[in-house]
Amino acid sequence: MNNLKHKITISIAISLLLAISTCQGVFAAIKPLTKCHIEVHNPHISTSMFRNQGVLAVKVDADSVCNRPMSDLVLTVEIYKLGTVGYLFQHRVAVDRVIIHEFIPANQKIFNIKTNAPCKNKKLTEYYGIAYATAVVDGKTVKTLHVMTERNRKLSCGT
Amino acid sequence: MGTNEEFDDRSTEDRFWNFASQLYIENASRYEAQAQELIKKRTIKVELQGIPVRYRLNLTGCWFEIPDKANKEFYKKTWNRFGFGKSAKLKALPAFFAHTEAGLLFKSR
Repeated sequence: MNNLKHKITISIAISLLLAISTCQGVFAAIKPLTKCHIEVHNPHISTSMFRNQGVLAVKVDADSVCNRPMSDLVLTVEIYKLGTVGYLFQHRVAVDRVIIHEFIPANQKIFNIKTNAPCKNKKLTEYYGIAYATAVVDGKTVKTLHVMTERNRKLSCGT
Repeated sequence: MGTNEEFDDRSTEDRFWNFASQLYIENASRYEAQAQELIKKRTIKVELQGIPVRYRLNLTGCWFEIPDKANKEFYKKTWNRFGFGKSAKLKALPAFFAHTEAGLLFKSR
């Protein structure tokens, strides 16, 4: 009986060792995750454009940062306005892409702060923005999800 | 500058819009002629400090396109909605030209 107990203990120990070594092999094969973060700021009337150009315009800013070095980055920001029936008749009013072919080191923030749509009148209009990016990381093209502004904003800016 | 293309602080942003405004004033007549030509031809190519760029009208707005690394194809860079009408486009295009040209020329200053 004692002999059988001893055999079972040894076989369990061997199984555990095998399991651990297999797991280590699996963990060693996993590359560090690419984590990219895009932040889209709420639509606003650009004070900078008004100050320098005397132009009223709705603007959406975004920035992105990745924990891995990359190249061929395209950071896109789009501005949408809602129609009279909300999202049903929404349409895009502006798009701007920041295109950087050169190497971008890990954790460097990239900004897109030029996307704007000039106001045609002072009609109260609801806007939101979307941002997304593509880049080449470790030789592979990766795409981020589309990120939407936290809030829609009603601005006195008809476009 | 945060990168070679974009800026990351408000004073640089101010300088950028100031530069765009300056371009708009200095090149007003060229932009008006360019707008007329674009309305007529729908697509025009312009060279800015040796860089070929393209403006393409669509139903409601205009795309500003820049060449890729190999200068073989054009990337869609900026688009603004002006409306369906010809007059709305004619009115808005000069400011669009100034804004897009500023984006391209600002980093070389």
